[in-house]
Amino acid sequence: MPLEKVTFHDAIEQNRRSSYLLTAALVVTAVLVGYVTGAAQGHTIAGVMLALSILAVLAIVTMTSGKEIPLLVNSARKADAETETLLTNIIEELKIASGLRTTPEVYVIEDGAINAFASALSDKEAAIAVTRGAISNLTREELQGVLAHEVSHILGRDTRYFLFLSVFVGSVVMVSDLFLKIGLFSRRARLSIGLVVPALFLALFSPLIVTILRFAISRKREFLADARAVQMTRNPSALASALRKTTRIGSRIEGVNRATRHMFILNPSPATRFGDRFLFSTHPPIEERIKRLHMMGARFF
Amino acid sequence: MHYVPLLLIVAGVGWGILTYNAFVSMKNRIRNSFHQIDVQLRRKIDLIPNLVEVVKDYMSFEKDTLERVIQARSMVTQAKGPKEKAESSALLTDALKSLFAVVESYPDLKANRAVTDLEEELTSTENRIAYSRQFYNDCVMAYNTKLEKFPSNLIGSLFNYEKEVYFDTGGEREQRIRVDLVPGN
Repeated sequence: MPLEKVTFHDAIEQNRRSSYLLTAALVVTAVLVGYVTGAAQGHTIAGVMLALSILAVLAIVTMTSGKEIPLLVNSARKADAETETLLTNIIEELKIASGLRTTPEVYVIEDGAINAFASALSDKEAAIAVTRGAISNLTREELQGVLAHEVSHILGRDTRYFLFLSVFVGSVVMVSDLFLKIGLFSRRARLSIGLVVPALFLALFSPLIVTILRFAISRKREFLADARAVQMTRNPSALASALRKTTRIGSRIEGVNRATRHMFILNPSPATRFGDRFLFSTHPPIEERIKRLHMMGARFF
Repeated sequence: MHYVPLLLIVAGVGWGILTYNAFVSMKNRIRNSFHQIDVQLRRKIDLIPNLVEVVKDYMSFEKDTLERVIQARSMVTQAKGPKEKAESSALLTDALKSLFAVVESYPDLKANRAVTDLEEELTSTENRIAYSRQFYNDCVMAYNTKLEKFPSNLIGSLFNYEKEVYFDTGGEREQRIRVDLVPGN
């Protein structure tokens, strides 16, 4: 089957749109949870308003909070500009290609696997960490592709977005838990029979739904970062071949913090029992990413 | 509902201000990225004397190649206007390419740390030049599109914003400019 050709402009647009859609789905879920929780207490509007204001507060808090810690969690060490000239050069190139105003700090994780992640709450306070395995196993262009993917995460404010998502998922879990414990069975509950079933359904399944949505968004952002990386380097082949190399050399990092795995270019922890293709994967399958890079013009090799 | 028209006017003026400001920052970004091209070109020029210094002792038999690099460099320094600069820069790249092809046949030079360092610096600089042009062109595209699209074109024409021109590398293909100085990569 011949691959359909897409430009990276189209790919970026398309990924951005589905990312918005998924976020909208999250908001709708939150409002629904607020609605039934409110209805159970006899204050429908109050419930919805509460859900919306929790969302707003979360958004504000995650957008203004301080420095992130995943760098420390994953024991990354700051790269020495003298000895890591290749690394610092590539970052400097990508800064120009992306139009970032500040050069991200570069860190190295001493691990033989090929992987990298970005941590940034704003484009002024950004850091990129890359494994020793990536530096020594990838060619200059491949490494550039991988780092461009990380710079894309910085451009897309993805760290902040993911932070927001995880706090959001946490609070939905909390609210629905609360609702199950007190809301449904309190004496003030005025739920009609018609509402009990959907309310129970939501309370039981909303944590699952938002978790699935969160992973779906995470996967979309990976595709988006790939497309953006192509926009920067105009070299889809290099990123595709870097991804292919990791299937041989591996991307699993020893002792990685599970809470930070969505931030890596490739899943750094061992596959779950569902495998990598299921709903609960933070990353899309590598084959699918390579296929999409080919659609953006990468040559087969 | 007498406040509805008022609200509409406030929203309209607000949108106008936002759009106008967007044009201002886009224009500034274009100017800044154009400047960036020159900065990176300067970097390339500054690397050449070091390179010449390192290789000249080894390359007594290859005076021509070295001469070409030095000549092309002075052409870039004297070039005026973006088109001339792009053309002379491409010439310099070609000269450097043949220089490094020669370096390949000198095992001593190839193993020289200073040479490999300079090779990396030049590769990076070529990338930076290419990317600064590319970013400039991307900015111009975003700006021109906004200038043409409805309704932002209304604000654009109201304040006499004009379309910007793309950076043309003088008929050069991207491929020739983004040369790989490191063999085998």
